[in-house]
Amino acid sequence: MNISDILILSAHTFLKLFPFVIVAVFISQLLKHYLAKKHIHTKIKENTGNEAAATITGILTPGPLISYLPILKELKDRGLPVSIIAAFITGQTLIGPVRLFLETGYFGWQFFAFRVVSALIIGIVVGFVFKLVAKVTQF
Amino acid sequence: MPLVLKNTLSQLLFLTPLFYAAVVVGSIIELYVPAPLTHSLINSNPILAISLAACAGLILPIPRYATYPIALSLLATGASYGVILALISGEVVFESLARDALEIKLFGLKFFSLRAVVSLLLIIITGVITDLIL
Repeated sequence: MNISDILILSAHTFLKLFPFVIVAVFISQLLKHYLAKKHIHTKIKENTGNEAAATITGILTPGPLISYLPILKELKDRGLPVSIIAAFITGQTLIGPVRLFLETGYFGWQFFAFRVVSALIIGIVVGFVFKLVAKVTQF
Repeated sequence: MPLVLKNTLSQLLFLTPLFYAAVVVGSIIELYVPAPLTHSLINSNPILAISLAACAGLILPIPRYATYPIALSLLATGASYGVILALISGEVVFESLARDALEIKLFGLKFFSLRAVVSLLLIIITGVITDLIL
């Protein structure tokens, strides 16, 4: 194993990829700062009973999921179905607006479009499975 | 705006060493994992390759955004787009221990496990479909 080869290739790759990371991190912080959590709260409530809309809301929601989990718990306690919560979480984890810059930069538009479509399908199916399971067990 | 810049800088300070480490791992894969090995694995059994990539994404403690250099190196050594999709999607399902712990605490282990298992199966299926189309 030649260390200098590894370091040269690493430096080359790092310089090529890191600008995308800087832009992505900046945009995520910008969205986190300016997009009110209350707006997300309202959007999820509006989409009660619609797993597709919950997944899309999740996909479009920026920032780490960890900051939304307490809100989701509060909504669950107020009667929001677990299928909606599961669909939102799945959409939110699989795709975020920030990944658009990274994935199109690295792998092209086609790949990112596939990721979005797959996230949408996965979110809807996860929500549907939770709807079925919730009929026989409690979460 | 100053707060946004401050948070961006703080995130970058945390992320850069991890990202660089991922780039080094990616470079090692690109330089030393022989392309025919990747090709033969994918050509012999694409479903196995996609399943392994999804599981690797789940298990490996790769931080956010650091999967991309590794995925790019795998692509360079002959991995398919389905494998890349499975690796990236698998990684985000169990992205952070803190997040997973909070999800389990608030919604229960049953909720978390069901979501993870169903997501994993669907990631493998969409990976296979991606391979068929792209």
